[in-house]
Amino acid sequence: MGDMIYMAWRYLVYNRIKTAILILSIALIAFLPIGLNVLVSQSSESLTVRAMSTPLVIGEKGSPLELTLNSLYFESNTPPEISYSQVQRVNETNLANAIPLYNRFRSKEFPIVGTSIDYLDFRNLKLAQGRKMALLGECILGGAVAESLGLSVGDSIISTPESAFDLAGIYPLKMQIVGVLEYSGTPDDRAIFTDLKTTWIISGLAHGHQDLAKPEAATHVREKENGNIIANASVVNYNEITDENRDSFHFHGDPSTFPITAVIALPHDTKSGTLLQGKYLADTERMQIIRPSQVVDDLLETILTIQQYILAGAALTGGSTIMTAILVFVLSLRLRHSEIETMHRIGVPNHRVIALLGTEIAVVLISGIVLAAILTLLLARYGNFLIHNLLF
Amino acid sequence: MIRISNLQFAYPNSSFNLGIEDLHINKGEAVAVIGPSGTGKTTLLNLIAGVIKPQSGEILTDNSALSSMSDKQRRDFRIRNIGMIFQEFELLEYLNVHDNILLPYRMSSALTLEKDVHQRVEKLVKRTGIADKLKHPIRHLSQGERQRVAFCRAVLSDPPLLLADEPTGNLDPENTDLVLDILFEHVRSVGATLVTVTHERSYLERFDRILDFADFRKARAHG
Repeated sequence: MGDMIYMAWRYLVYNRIKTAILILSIALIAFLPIGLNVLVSQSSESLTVRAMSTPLVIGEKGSPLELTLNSLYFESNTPPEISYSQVQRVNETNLANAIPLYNRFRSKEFPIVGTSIDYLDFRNLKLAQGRKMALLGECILGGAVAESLGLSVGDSIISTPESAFDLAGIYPLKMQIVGVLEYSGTPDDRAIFTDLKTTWIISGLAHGHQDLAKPEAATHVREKENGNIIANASVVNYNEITDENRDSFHFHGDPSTFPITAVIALPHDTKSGTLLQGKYLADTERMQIIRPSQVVDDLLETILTIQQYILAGAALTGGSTIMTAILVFVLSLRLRHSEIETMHRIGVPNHRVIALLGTEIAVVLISGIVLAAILTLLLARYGNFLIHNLLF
Repeated sequence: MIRISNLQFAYPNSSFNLGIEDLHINKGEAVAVIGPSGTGKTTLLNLIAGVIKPQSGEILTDNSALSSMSDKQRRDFRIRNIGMIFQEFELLEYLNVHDNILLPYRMSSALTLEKDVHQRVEKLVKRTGIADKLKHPIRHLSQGERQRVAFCRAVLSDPPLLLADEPTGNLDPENTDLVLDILFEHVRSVGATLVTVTHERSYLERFDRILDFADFRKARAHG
């Protein structure tokens, strides 16, 4: 047997390009359906677990998928903003507890999620270091964000301006990191959490600046009328909230009209959930209430349908590849007719010639299957990363 | 060593037929088979080697009737007792010189690849002047060197019978002499029988006997 393997190995190495193509083809035939299955299973699990743990989400009428992806996975486009009064509306029903979400801004590629402390408890997020955010301008980082940016408690992180060319737009805000979350294997790992009010400061609805009533700020005053001081354009807003300037931050307007992107509703029981959903059914209703598990089920149904098409395509491709491999083998037999004839003439038994050819095929097949197995293991290991980049 | 009597052979669907009433080649004899193309010289070698079986008649090779053996028995007999050398060398491109010489040992359980076989390979390649080419791929060898590798493969198991089909057909005069010297030196030193098919008449005096197929062959082309 050792001689057969050696001879087969010499032949395959001599014809290394043909061998490599055959091994790669077989590996792909095996890997495509298995790999796709692994990918779909992982994405299904990843999507479903998160969706199942989020009972109801409220947002402005529009795409339920966009609202789900943004609210649960902090991905997709920012859905239309709704007012903070929607949080109060849910709470006033006494059917559910409401957790606001404002996911519009980013720091580099990581989303800044404005929410309440309740969100951390709801998602059962544990701190690896530091404490929860308590004051304006404080934030906590998901485990992957801290690792990726090399940040820890005591450092600071700056929000990324939405547009570098919008001079009148939103300025970056430097936030203090007061906590880092343990890895949870969820999208929370890749998010920066801060208080809702801090995100409103980023959006420009609140700001802090020099006290214009003080004499040294006189150059920033445009006019004083009935006790109101109106600043001119030279007044500089603070872009970092510190202990010294925290009190100077103030909101203009009614906070109930301030924007959020979604409300997570946690009904007290099943009946409360059903009743709450009923309150958003009117034709004139501008809000939608969605059950994320239902949205994800619909999405997975679409993915599974696509998977079926891809598998059918892979089966066809695989079939034609196998046919091509057989053709290559038959043609190589014809090319090797003289070699086989020589073996026959010098007295090599038929079964040894067949064993040699069989060993060559077996080595190619086994190598292809091993390569497919390695690819599948790699996919299983890094599938989540791939899903993250493919889906969102 | 070889006795052929009342032999009749024809290829299926062919007008060719070969008939030999009586042919005897003695042990240790070097015989050259000459004659025009298509008269069945190579067929005769294949019949002696048991590669093909006659329709009738008997061939005794080293007192063994190959035509009454099974295919496996004939192959085992051939690989143990007959060394074959071909005009086109018939070496395997994907093996180096060493592995080509060892081919019969690697591919047949009738021969056992023991330590002394490797020592014999070393002696053979030294004697034939290709010792420095042992690990070379076949494509890097000259025609003469290739035929010397084929010779080493044929004689490695010390077969009592050597069958050579136009062994110098692809060689220049210098390499022809070299290969023939090696071939005859081996045959004479071990007392092997040699049957060589050739078109080349310039070296016929080296052989003990010359069989001219045009003289004794009864084959006639029909149609």
